Amino acid sequence: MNFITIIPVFLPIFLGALMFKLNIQDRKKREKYVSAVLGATLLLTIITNFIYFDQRFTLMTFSAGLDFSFKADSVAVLFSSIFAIIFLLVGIYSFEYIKHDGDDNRFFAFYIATLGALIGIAYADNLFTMYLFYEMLSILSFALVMHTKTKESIAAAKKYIYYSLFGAALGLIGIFYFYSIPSAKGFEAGGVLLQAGLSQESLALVPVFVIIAVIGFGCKAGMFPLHGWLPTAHPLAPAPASSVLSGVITKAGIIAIIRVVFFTVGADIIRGSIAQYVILGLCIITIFIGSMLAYKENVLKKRLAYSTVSQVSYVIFGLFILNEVAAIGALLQVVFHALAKNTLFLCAGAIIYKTHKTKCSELIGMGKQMPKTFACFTIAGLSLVGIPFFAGFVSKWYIATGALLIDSKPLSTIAFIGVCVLMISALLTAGYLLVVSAKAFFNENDTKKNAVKKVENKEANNTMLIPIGILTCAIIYFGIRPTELIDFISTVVQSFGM
Amino acid sequence: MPFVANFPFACILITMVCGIVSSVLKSKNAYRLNIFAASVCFALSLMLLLFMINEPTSITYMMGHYPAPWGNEIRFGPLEALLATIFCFIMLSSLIAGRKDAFIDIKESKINTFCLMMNLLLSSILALIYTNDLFTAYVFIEINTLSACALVMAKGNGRSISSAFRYLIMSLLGSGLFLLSIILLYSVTGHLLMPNIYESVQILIATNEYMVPLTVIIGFAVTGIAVKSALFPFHTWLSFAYESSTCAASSILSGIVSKAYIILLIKIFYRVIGFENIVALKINNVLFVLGAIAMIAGSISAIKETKIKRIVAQSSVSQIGYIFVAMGLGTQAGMIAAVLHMIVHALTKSMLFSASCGLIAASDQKKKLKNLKGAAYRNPIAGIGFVIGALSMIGIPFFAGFASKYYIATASISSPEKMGVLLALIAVSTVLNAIYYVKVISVIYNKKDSDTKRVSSGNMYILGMTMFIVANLSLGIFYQPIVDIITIGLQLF
Repeated sequence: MNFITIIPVFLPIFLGALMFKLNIQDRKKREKYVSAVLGATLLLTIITNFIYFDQRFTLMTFSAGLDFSFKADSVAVLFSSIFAIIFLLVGIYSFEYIKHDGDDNRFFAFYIATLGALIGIAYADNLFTMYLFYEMLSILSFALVMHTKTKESIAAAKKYIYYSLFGAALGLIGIFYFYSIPSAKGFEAGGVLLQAGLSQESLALVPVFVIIAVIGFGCKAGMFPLHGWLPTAHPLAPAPASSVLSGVITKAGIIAIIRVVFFTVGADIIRGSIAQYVILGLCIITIFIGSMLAYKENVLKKRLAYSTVSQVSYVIFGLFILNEVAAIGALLQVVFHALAKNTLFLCAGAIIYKTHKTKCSELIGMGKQMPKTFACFTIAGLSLVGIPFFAGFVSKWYIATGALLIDSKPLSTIAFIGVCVLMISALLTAGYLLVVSAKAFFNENDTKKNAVKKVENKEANNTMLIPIGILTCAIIYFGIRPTELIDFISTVVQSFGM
Repeated sequence: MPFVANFPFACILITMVCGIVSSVLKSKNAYRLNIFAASVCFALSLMLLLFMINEPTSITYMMGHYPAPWGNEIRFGPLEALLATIFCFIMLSSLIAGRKDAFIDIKESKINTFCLMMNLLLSSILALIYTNDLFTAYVFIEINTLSACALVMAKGNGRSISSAFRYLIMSLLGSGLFLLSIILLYSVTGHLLMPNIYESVQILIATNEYMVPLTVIIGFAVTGIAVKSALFPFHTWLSFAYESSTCAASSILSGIVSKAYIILLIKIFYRVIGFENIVALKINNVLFVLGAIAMIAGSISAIKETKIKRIVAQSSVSQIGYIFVAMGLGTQAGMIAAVLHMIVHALTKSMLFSASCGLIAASDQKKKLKNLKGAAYRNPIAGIGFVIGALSMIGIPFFAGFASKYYIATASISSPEKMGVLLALIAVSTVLNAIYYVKVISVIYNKKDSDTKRVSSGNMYILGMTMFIVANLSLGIFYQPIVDIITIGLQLF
């Protein structure tokens, strides 16, 4: 019965492709179909995660050592659940939103298939299978970015696919190298290279290829130097697409990095090597420039995209500290950033949908017209800054504590700089997100002149508000009571074998 | 000697006879005969291949029962059988897919001449694959050149004639160089049959005699073949020739004609000079450098092009670069990767050309990319074929191109000094490939202000494209048996 593992991967891909054939014209029917598929995928993912946990299924063998196989291990459980839940919520949201852009069948077909590719990345049991779904993800989400088919969005989508393919090609170089080392063909906790019993000389090049692979896969996660596509592609995609791109698809890069670092190479080889220094340095740069550019940006969705650049690099920073505490923080950040960033993008989408306003400077006083939307926006913003009692605080706390646990000399300095940058970035985040909410609710002009003037109600529809509300509740819930999640994530981190 | 051993010679003979017969037939019957000849050759080669898979042997087939210095020989093993099968398959599918275009592009009265040339081309390619004699190889190189030129100018308009002249001049330069090298080799060794030359060359190298002439000989042969197979910097004729010929002709020219010469080069490396001597003389490094430049330069010129067939043609330059880079690694693994990439590229590129012709035919024969908006909706199977071909050339897993890229990259790891360069090249060239293929795909699937009504492409076209698509997808998934055959074949070479 192991084959159940592949159903949540292939079901959405096939049913998504089927939408082209069905070409459902009736809106109600289409909504039923899409929500049924997304719901079924979520259900099957949960079933697989619980019942077929840690069972390998090999679909076919391409050639010696190139298996096409799947396994729901604990990392896969964490990520696949996030993917399936968020895709369902954002899917419901997009029923309303996508009316705005048209050509719904095509959007939902690619949207559903993208979920399949993402779950495929999570469930992949070796680098080759993962790479396969990684490329599939790039191609499918390419269609999401260019959905509106305006000149700008096609240009942005092209930029996205070129960056993605180049990043994937760099990752592939790493994969080729690791595959050339005997026995390095599946994932194993703690890495497979050390177990192969290789001499020190033959491992000398490994850190270099780790750097290449991480920079390559870091492209999807928006890591400097391949972050350029994010601020171009996210603002031009339809809001639901940019929300999953930013909140969820960037995490595909994180999975790839986890698989390379902890499940193929092994933390012990990387610890103290040049790879750790370089990647930590790149993360610190990314966190800083991301926040800085977000602070200076006026277009709301672009600002959020820059914010993603900075926030996702927190995760890579946490992972490359290479101790358990920071890794727990990193994985918490994966969850919480997915929640917060999706909320923010969905709110931004609701604002665009209702008022066609895209710039932050135009949002002054809007809080009274769309109070619920802006309340959720503010809460997600507070979480992203890292205020206590909101989810984001917990993850940042763990990352910072983990970073300060390093005691070997040159590395601890870098980690310390990193923590300082985290603080600065938190300030900047407050500067670029909370100021928006503050200005939306408390408008100076308003109080001076006519406070009694009737406020137009432009609140978003319920189909849009409910998913936003659920995400916001999750942010508050995990901010107050993160213990169960932390327990679960600790078991995930133990499987890293550090 | 088993009965199947007669098949290679039978294939060469059948195609020649069919060619001669088709010159007196009416146009439609001539084309039918041509398809018939290609399918018979395909069937015979397939039988030979199946036989070779069961009992991998290398068979030397003497013609007319005269022994070596007087008679002529052909020699074949699993690799030759595999290549002949695939090339006949490509010939067959291209002919089927290009039928409608051929009857539109070429005058009714010239179709039988076109078929004659096609048959001669196939027979010369098969002969190049099978021959064991350098002079026979030269004769068939010339037949190949002339028939290919005739195919380029089959359309008969000014543009195709000027392209054919370009092609003719470059090709004759290449075959001239090759002839020089054979003459010099003959005067140094006194033989024309490959095994005999091999023995003499080994003695010459062991005694360190005639080293300078030998280097010159190899230089001439390699340059001559590089010109004919469009290795950078001798690639200028390629885009003109492929662009201005009719559908079937450009598929076949890009898919198999340039590959036949590369096979000849591999033969010279293994059977005439000895691969270890080539590596010792560092000839492979030259090929590596030229191939590396071609990988990048071809893609960059493809990005600049505005006509779909020229884009696909320029991409060939870069893909041929891949083949030479893999050969240039100078290892057995590299050679396996090169042969695999040759097969992949032959199948994919001929499909891409057939697809582009279908797209052009669905857009009132307009070749510019800007006129092809929405063409994939007007001719869906051509659109699918193009996307599959593009994904394969970019190197996405599940498609054939990924398999060969994987083998090239893993082969590079055994020669560390070239590994860094090659891996970087693969990364850069992936993106460059993506740039122009994504550009084309986003145009042909652009619905906006374009006609999306289906244009009938004919049943034959659909059949031919389906054959291509099935072959490409199955090669992408089940490449392992092919690699096994190549490995055994190269050992028996």
